[in-house]
Amino acid sequence: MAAAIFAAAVARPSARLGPLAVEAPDEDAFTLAVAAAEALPVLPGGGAPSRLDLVGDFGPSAEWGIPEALGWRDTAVHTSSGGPAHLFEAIRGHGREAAERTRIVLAVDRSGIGRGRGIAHGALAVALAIGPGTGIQVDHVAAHVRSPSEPPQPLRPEHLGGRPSGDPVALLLIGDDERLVAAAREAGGLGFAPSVVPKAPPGTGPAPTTPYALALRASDPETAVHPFVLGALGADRDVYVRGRVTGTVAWSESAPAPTMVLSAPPAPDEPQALDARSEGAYVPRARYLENLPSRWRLEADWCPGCGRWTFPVRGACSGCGDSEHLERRPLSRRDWKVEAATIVRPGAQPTEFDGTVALSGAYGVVIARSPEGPRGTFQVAGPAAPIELGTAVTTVLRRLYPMEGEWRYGRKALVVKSPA
Amino acid sequence: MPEGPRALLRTAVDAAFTSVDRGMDRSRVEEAFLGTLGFSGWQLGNASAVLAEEARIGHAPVTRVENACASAGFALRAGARAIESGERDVVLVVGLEKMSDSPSPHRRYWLGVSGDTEWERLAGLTFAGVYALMASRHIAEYGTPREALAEVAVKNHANGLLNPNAQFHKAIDRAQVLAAPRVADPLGLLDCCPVTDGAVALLLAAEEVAKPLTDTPVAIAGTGAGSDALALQERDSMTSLAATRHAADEAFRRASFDRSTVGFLEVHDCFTIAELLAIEDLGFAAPGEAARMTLEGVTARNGRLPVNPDGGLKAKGHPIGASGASQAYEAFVQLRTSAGPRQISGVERALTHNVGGSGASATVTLFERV
Repeated sequence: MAAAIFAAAVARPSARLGPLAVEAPDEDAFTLAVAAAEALPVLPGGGAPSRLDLVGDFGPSAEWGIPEALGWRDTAVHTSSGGPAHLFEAIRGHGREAAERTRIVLAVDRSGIGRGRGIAHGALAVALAIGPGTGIQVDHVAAHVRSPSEPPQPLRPEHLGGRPSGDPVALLLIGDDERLVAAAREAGGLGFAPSVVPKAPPGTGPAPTTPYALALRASDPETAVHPFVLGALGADRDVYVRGRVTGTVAWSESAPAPTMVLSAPPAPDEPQALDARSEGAYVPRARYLENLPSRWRLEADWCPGCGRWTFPVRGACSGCGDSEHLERRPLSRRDWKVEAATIVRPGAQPTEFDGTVALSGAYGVVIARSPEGPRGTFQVAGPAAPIELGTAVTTVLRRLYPMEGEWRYGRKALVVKSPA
Repeated sequence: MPEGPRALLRTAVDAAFTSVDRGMDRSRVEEAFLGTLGFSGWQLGNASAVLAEEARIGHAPVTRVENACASAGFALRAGARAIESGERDVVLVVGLEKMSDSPSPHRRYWLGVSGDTEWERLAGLTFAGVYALMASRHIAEYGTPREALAEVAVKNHANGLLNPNAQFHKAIDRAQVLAAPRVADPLGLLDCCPVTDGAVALLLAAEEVAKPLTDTPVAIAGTGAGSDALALQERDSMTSLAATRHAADEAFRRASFDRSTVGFLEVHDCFTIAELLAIEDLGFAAPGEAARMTLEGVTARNGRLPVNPDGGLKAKGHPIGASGASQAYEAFVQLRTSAGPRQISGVERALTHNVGGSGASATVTLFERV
């Protein structure tokens, strides 16, 4: 049985800079990738995927951080730079295992304004779940590198591994420039029905790779686009993909975030800013890493002896002290209820959060109770606003602050609805 | 030039010896306990030796006690137990903190030392935020009016006016408290204790040793202490400090009197909400009732149960590791009828209450006129 994309999810940045969707100060490619992956429906069997392909630049800690955040610790991780060829190669996969096991492809783009100065904005992350069964199937990927002075390659059957069989066949092209239209005409010579997919989905900001994944959305079985050819013309390479739609794909979006309106692009990550050192109370890197199971994955220990939860985990039951029979269980990442709330005003923040306050002012902090019982303390993502007790929040992985050469990440609360 | 930690220690210890009515030679001190956080890293881990030098107590052993804001409360308890056990006849207990000479960023680092740095601090909380969370919950559970929190500050500032050792000698009204800039909602600037320098020295002696030294000793009638989870999220309640309840129960079990005969309370009002929590947890008001008591004037200096007649941490100031000892000082002067214009008439017994962190530790000490 061939492998197909059976579920997909998108995470968009939550801030706005003029008409552009851009990353909030506490978002980056890593947090958006985790958000997209968490928005995926539960994998078959509830387990971790056998392989995770990271396509694009997710930042320095992604290769271990993304599997850590998602709890996919036995998953083989493969990385590649961005671009449609890598994306579709990852989707297609290789060998028997690629066809028989569940895999995840995470793609991200960070590009756009100020790029020449190293500032990245407009990230968009897409998570694709691939496994045996029906959905969107990628059969063939062809990429042609050429000099920027050469015209795009006219589409020929050999680019697609032979003439596609079956009718109708749609050619989906990304972008809206003249070359695409010409290529579509050329393709029309093969008897396809060409259509052009907008380059950047509205509200996402510029993003060169993920629209190719989003373009797959256009190949909805409802529109009877079955065998399809997807073409992308880049500055120095053309990519053509042949595939088929054999079933429905469940698309989902990560939880909508409150919009933060920025007046200027956030500053790029300066090495000296990341190199912050604490002079007093803080969490050294060793403690930070030790706490990641609870901090990132909300893992708690449940004690079968006394029935008590211990969160955050600390190797022993906080009730009876048992350390041998504890059952490690992840708490729900959604539907926490706020039991106490405050807004920390500028000047009352720990010094680690001086940068947060300088960029976005006051922030909220809540203590919320999980559906399972344990409580947690979370900063609130997005602009500070009063939160009524009883409000339901979901949790999202975000940047907390830079320390000792890296960003520290943790879960923040995101308000999803007011109390009934 | 501001006084440094050594000068603060020397001043307080000298004053303690001077206050002994019939005088006492320093060589009689057999052991000392020093409560200090070591704010800003001053003499970190080595403050005991500095106390021995400045107190001029020879080679008597000094133990440093660090239990956050309750350091001096626990030092006092350690000193009292050294005497109760029969091991020592005379003990010196000192509380010390020097906070004002650190720049603001250093203060904010150090003020977080005593909290849950791994979870609460990473969520962006300092103590103002932690107590604000408790206040939000208390307001939700009991309908506690914001005016009651403001009244705590108004009352304690009024009391501070009469205390020459208070940091603030400034009367404020409820409108000012309510209009003050917010620090962590619902708490504003005037709901928060200040950054303070201070040292307090207490001389403890076995009863038969104390009698020849003074005609008006004050007895430590009972001590108690308690602990709780460091982080608020892990406690059973966010509107009640179990450590305080445990400490109070223990202290009253050891004393020969009950709550009805206590003349006034010195409680740990680092934030206004903390005074309401303390009155309830110490057993002087039912849960949710301290606000009403405060608004009705029961806790005013001339009320039925005065609370923080010295101005409390709010107006007297909160030199972290010294505050527990300063509360004992107030009990001492009040019960000896030597509190001057802030003297409460007819008091025979007093309670002091010192909290570490946001309630992770607490001490309660009961005092009685002899």
